[in-house]
Amino acid sequence: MTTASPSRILIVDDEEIIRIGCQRILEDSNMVVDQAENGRAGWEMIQKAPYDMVLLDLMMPEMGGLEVLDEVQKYDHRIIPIIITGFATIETAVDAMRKGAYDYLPKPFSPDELRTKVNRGLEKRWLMMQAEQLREERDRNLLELTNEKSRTMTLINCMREGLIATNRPGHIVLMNPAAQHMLRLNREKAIGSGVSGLFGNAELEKQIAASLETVTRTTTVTHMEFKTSDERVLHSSTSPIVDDQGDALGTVTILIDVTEDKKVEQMKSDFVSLVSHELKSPVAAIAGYLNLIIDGLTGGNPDKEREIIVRSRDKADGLLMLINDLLDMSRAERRGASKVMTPLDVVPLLKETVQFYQNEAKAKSITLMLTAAETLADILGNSDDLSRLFANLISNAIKYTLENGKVEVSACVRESQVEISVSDTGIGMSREDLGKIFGEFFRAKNALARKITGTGLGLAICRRIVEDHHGHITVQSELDKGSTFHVTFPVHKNN
Amino acid sequence: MANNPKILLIDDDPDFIMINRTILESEGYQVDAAHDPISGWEKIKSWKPDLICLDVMMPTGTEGFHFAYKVRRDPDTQHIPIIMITAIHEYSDFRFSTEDGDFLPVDEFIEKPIRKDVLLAKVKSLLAAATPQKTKQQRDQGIGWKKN
Repeated sequence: MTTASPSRILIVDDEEIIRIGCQRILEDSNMVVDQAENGRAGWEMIQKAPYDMVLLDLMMPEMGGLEVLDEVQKYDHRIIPIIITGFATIETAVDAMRKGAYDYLPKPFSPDELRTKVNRGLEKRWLMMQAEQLREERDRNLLELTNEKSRTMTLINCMREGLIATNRPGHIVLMNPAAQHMLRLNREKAIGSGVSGLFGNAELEKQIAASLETVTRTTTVTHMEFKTSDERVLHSSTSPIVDDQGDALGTVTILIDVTEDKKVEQMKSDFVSLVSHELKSPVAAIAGYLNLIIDGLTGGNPDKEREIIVRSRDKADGLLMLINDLLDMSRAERRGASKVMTPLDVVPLLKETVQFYQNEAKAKSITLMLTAAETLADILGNSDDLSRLFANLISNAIKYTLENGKVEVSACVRESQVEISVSDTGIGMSREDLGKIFGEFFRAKNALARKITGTGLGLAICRRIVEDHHGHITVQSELDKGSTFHVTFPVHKNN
Repeated sequence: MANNPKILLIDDDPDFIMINRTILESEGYQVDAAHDPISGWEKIKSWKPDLICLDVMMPTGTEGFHFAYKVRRDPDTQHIPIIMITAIHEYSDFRFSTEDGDFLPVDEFIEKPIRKDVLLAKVKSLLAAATPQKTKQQRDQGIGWKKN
């Protein structure tokens, strides 16, 4: 038996010869031994110093051995009590042991008997302490383990990504609520069942099965995208769970719902092909015109050549306009820190824009007028963007209005909204076209509209600017009568 | 000049008309143009062209095809060769060919942008093949019409 420090023993006996004898024997065994000559003195010493064992005489004045035994038991159950009995009978000793004494020594006893019983008692104490320590450690570990497990499960259950784990035979052992939701599966039913046929998606099942088959030391993750029965697109990545020997224990699959990303991707590629087409047509026309001149097909007719050159120039101007509009659109789309929004009144901006377009209106004998109070409530906005918005709406109105027509711009505050209207007596739009005019590259199909130049981006830019300002844009129109565009912005501050 | 073959261009794109009119006129053809199917049909009836260049997309999606069927169904016009101008491949990989003649009632396809030599070669060969003697019997009716 090994202990770091020597064992501490207290001998409580009223017979001095016993105390001295025991002390000598035990000190020879490298123990630290104290003595007390009666029960009370012994009890007091026990409370002051940590003893591993106490040897107790039963018959003592002041405080009897059994009484001390009682107190020791209550005080510290790890102190081993051994009873020394003189005149008492075996029955008394047995009684003491029933009360918690570890062993008893009948007087007279030999040094060997003393050493044996003391050593056995100390050994018992050591084992007891060890057991206690182990139990404490185990309890602590279990607590940590439980905490760790529930923490991990909480994490997995809160993930937005779906997680599915299978074992070697391909049975599902774990599935978080996100995965359950994405695959529209009942988790209780799914856990423990085989992958095959469960997901209603053969590709995902194949991916998981393949992952179990193709385990190598350099484990690869397989990625896949698939459509669910309700038309959502899920991205799944499956990797095998591998042990130290490189054997597959199962698979873990992460599912991400990429339906929205796919939609954005599609919109983006639609837009790119739309833009490419819009850019290509004028460039092709310019190239065609240039070839006419290069190939000498004009027959040297200067009027014809001039017409071709003028048309090419117009096409180039149109291209430039289109590119400027595209730049404006991407500027309108840029959000956040790069765009400065300040409280401002739209009236000065409207005045400026109306003033700017007066000449253009006059050239077509169109009356262009603004009706608004001197000041209105402030909105939170970007003045460059808003100028562009008003310019687009007013120039559009002039463009689509016939000679001697009228374009009226007005602004007012209504129900915590600043409302701006641009109304014209122009060619108007069909009901069918109304829904499309805020889309990119839409241009009204109309015999009159054919002669009007434009990129088809003006109103798309307007829509983006208005949305960026948390506003709304709507249009009312009647074919051959005219159109009215309404724009509303939330009031930021009343003036 | 008055006896030179007459070619009608039907397209809503004024640049296309301008460019191809110049190319064809430089070869001595008589050229007229229409910007939409209605005036195109009027010009076919009144001007009686020897060949039609028709834009497939004019002005909405399938209008060019409907127009071609109309030309084929009319006994007065069904003999006139049609070159269909397409820009379809810009939107998809879909391409037309005259092997689809069973259901496409035209003689040739040319994709935009049009190359001068391709246009002139096709016009020349179609005009050479088309003789005024061709009758209703030689050209199958409407949809079943096939290039010979």
